[in-house]
Amino acid sequence: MKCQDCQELFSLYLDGEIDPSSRSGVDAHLSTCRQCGMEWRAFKTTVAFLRDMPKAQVPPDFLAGIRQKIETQTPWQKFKTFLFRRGERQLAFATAFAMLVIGFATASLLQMMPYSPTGQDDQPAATVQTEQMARNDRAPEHAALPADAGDAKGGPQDFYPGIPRLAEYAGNGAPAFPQLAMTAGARNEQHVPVVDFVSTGPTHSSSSYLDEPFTSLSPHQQPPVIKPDLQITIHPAPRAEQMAIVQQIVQSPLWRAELHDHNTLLLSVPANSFDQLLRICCAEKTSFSPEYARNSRYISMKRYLTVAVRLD
Amino acid sequence: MAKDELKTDTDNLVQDFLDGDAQAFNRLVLLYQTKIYNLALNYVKSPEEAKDLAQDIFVTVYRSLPKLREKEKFTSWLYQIAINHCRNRYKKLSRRGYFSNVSLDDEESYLQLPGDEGPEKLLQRQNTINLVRSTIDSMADAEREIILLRDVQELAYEEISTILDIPLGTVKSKLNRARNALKDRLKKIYQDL
Repeated sequence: MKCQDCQELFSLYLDGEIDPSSRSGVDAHLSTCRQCGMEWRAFKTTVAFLRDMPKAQVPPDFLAGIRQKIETQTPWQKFKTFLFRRGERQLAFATAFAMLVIGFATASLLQMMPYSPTGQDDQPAATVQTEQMARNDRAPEHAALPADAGDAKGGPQDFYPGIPRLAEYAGNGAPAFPQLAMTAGARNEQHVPVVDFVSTGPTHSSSSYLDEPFTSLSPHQQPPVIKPDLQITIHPAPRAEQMAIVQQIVQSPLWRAELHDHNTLLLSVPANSFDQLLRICCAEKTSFSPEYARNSRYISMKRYLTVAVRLD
Repeated sequence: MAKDELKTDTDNLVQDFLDGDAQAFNRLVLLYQTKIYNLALNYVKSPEEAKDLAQDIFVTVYRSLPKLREKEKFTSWLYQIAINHCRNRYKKLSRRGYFSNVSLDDEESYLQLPGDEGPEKLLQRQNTINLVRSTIDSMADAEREIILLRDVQELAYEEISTILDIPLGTVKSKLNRARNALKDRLKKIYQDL
């Protein structure tokens, strides 16, 4: 046996894990090789020293500390305990599910909610007041808190010169609330709108609010300028004949008709009902402006056409 | 305590604990606390840290023992948990630069040598212990763990193979290499003796 082979077996030889044939080989080599004998003694001493190394004493409160740690749960263990406790776990899952459903429902509702272009629903009262003040050229240095308006009602000082007081709103038939519906009696007659439909031409046909039939206006908006898409003039004829045409137009459920002035009717005609209107009005004693509309329904891309019917 | 006796006691205590005897776990701790505490100390070098680490090991054992399938392999299982905890804590502390702050004096302060020797012998022995420890610390992780489990914890080759999950032949060869490395470092001291 070589010296290197012998020294590689020192561990097994020392621990008694070596097989008998190798053991006898090591024994024979150690009895003859002085160098390996020295190495073997050093090896044996090293391992003995290692095994005899002093052991550190365990601190006296070691066991108590373990007990304390066992009883004190870590946050993760608390979470696990919570999850596996039947009632609370169900409650947690139900709450999480309900919150998800509410979240989705709210998001869907927000997406479906229509946009109000007139701002009647959304506009705060303060904005309306500001607009009124601007129209009446109220001096800004007289501004005061709105709460003071109630106090000033009966007092001599008018904090809002040019603006009707609350008392002036009462008794003119206007409802007290909502505030936006209140209009001063004197101005009410001037600003009552007849129709708020303003044709802005085919370029704005995608705008949804222009595609709606007549909607009432806020009293603070200016009276609209009416630009009908089509004007139909019924020429002088026997009164009964004229009235028959008008009666057919007014009584038709397909469109909305309003009296614009004493001899003009304004119609809001859905595009798909335009042919019926043409059938009623295509007598020889009528004229169309533009004239090509007599034979064509495609006078506008809008869903609702504004037609003025005039008795000549 | 003889190895067989220790094993019998361990098996009985494990069974008692699983049968609902809360005191059995305390006795198990008393049986193994010195071994586990010293193992932890070899990794983290500080008595406070070693105490905390060893306590964590026993807490894990307490919580996981009902899930142990092969009750007769409790010792191997306990050391597996201990080694995993020690490795994790060692990595964690190394990342924080903990070991660069631990001086040699702190490291050795927990070892109280028996006082029946003369001061010269005592000093010489202390120096040898320091040398042995620093040599073990400079070894590769696998060799260091094997020599600690075999010569300090006095575990069998098969147990070490199971605990470290390495072949038995690897255990044998690495142990021989580690012991020879240690012997070569200490040879000069032996010549002086």
